[in-house]
Amino acid sequence: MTKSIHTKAYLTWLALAVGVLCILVLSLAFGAVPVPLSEVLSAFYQQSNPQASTVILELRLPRTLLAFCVGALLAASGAIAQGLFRNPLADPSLIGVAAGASAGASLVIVFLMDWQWPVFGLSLVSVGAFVGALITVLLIYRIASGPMGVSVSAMLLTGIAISFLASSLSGFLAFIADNEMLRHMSLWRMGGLDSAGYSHVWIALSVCVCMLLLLPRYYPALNALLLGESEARHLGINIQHVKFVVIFWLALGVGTSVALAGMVAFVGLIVPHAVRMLVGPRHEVLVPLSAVAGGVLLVLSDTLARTLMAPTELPVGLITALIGAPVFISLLTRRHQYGMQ
Amino acid sequence: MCLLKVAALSVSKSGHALLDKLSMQVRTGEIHVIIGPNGAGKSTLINTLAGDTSHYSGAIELANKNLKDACDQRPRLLATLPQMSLLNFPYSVKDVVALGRTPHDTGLTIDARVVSEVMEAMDIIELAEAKYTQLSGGEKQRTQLARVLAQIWRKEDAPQRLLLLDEPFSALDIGHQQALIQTIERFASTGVAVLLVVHDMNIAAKLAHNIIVLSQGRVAARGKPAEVLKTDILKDVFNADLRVVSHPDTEQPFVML
Repeated sequence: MTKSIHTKAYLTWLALAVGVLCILVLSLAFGAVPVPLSEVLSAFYQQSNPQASTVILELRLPRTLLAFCVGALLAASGAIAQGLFRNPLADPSLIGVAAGASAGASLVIVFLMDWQWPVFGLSLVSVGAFVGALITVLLIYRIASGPMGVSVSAMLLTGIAISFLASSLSGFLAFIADNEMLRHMSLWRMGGLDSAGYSHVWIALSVCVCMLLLLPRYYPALNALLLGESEARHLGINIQHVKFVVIFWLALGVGTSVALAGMVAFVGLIVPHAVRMLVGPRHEVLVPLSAVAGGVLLVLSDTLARTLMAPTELPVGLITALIGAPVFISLLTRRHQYGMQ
Repeated sequence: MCLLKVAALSVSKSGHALLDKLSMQVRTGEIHVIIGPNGAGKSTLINTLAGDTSHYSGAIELANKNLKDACDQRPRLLATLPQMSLLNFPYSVKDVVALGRTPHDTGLTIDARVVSEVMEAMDIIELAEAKYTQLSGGEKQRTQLARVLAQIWRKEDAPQRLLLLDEPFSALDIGHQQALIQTIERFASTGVAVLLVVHDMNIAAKLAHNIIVLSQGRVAARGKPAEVLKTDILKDVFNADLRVVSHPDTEQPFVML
């Protein structure tokens, strides 16, 4: 019986890998300049059509890869956030990470617009967003830590308070910004992958791979944590350590993706939620599957964003919200089938 | 052999004493039942013994070690069923029960055998693939009980084991109550010490080797069921108009309202 389960899991992953590869290749073919599928494949090994090769290798490939990694990061972060907070509707933005990142980005846009030196190929705005996300998480962690450890409800509430604080800061910055800054800020907030380069891909990919390689030893702890904190403690889980590790990866995952792609709505909330309804809440399955599904969702969304109004590109955050919200609502209306109240 | 030694245990919360200088000893194989009115400190006692708080005075020794020092081995020899479960994720019943094996690295085969044995004992085999969130209250309670039993099911994992149950009978029908009584008795006979909070005094009479009556954080009475379950004691502690008679078959005390 165990063997058949292993074979089934193996086949599922194989089918998934093939599907993901197809979607990645397909997304390379679409865009402002349509490239036939045959030329997409040939661009990789022979330069028969220099223009098509440039479009594929220099523009679309890094963008598609970045979309996949960012989607994976957001969805995996969402999955562990929902586990940590024992709330299937929790989202990294709930603890204020996204709002903090947005405030950081706005600060850079308004005050450091003229400084254009890049850091590791990242724009200064991205660095601002990342720092904003990290500061928010540290702040929340400090405030919510008490003598009895980190309280999850205190953390959620602190997150909401910090979100308001950060949005009022962003609002103030928008108020004093000029027109060009304002446009830059609002575009950034809607999310976009148009500045994708290979340096971005490497950053996102390495964070993503590290996360998926280093987190698995905490999956049993996260599984037990769903029972409740004292139950997990009775089962020998070192709660404070697990919380610290999960929050660290949450900050790094969300901070990185926000820095690289701006605010991409719904992926962190909807993907793990939907995956959990299909395969159950065990993190061994949930986190990797969420990562793959999140990646696919963002690649598809970005492909749509590039083609719907070509040659104009829509912000990818609009598309994810547009796809995400109806799916989420339809899942919620059928929640009883999946064991939700 | 004395498994749990509690000496002068006091717990207070914002100046209000929840437990006041409580002492007790539980030996392997013994079943101790705690009864008492609401707010008497029963759950506080269970939670303190389970290691949920370090803010207590007095001494708690588990298997001859201070409770505060025995953190590493504790999950393998001490299992606790809390009064309420907060689980609202759609685990299958089998997955919930299997979580009880988290502290052990005994391998998949043994874990699977333990899980199926406890599920049989709790009569939830048919529910194995059902979603926990869709169960009835009693089915949830039996699932959580199975999880807690799975944690200390095997003698090989820890020779000395202590089971703490906070109102395990509260949502069970009379048939499953009887089955649980038998399971606990069988479990105790393999050398497990059991300490449980019960509200139904007839279950206490049937199950207990020793009853502790708690009232306002203090021991109001303790001893064998026949010594403790007396009309005047219970009337006084519970402030209820009740009568204790003798069970027609077993001659155990039987409490009637």
